[in-house]
Amino acid sequence: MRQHAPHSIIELLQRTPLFKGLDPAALGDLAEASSVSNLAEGEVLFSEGEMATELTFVLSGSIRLTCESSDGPEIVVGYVQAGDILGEMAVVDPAPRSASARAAEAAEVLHLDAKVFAGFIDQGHPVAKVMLLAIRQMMTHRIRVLNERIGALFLLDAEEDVGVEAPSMVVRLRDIWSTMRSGG
Amino acid sequence: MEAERVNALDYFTGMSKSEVEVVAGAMREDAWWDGSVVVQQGEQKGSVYFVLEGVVRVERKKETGEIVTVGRLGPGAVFGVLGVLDGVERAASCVAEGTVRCAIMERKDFIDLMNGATPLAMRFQIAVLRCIARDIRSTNNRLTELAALPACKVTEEDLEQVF
Repeated sequence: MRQHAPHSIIELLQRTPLFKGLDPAALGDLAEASSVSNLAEGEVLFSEGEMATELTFVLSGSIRLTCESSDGPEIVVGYVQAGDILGEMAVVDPAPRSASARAAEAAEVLHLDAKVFAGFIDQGHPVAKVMLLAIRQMMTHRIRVLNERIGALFLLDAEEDVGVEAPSMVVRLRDIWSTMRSGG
Repeated sequence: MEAERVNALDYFTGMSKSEVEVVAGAMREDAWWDGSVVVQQGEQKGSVYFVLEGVVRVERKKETGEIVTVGRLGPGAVFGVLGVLDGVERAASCVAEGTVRCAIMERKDFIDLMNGATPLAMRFQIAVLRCIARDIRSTNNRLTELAALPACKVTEEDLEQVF
């Protein structure tokens, strides 16, 4: 069930590290412009392939991300915890969702429409500033982890040469695949 | 640089004409002949490169000294963004394959454009995030190709073909 963010949401936002630096007026603007939903365990937040039209903040609980697999059950590609953001890639560069999201336990999420986010940017609003920084940190972390793991794949025999037992290609690939897709 | 060429890069959607002109004003264009090094692994001179024409080969030098190709970047691709954000040394070299033209933005200009709470700074940050998002997606796509191969049979040749 989705509803406009009530005043109690401001208190919840204040406790979220991401929004800690925002003054009450900016938090009020965010609460006013967003909506909140309570998800029961297993409830779908969005499905792989849908176009993303919003940024989603996990206020409490956790969200499980899964991908369809061509030859078997769904693959769990990650969990998003309270305080984290979902949909950040799709909002900066529109594309279909790369994973499905379902509540792993009862969860409370805040929805911010992409157009409203664009409006905050047009105003140079403090909410846009903190979100852009948070999104940048998330995305740079993700690409760095991917790059490191790919680097490790290519540099396989450098480790063998110095006598370190290199993890097999299978283990390395599994590590990399587990890093993919979360965040879309 | 001409604002039109910068607009064609497709990272600056949402910016007004005058904002694109500011971004273009912070860029210069340069060209490299086949085989010349655009950026060198290990160097710390941070600039961001937008490929306008041609292809660059991304190479990494192993501890053994052997050089491996880890990717190729064509028109519209960007490199150097992470290095500029972190100030860390370059993790790979980029070598021109044929004639290559790039638009270059120096680290200082890049950081200056990103700083502040003006709509221009924020739209430029969105453009930077778009660069990173496309990098993540293309990496994921290549890894998906790799995932389609049976893991126990993946060879170094497969890796080079995918990347």
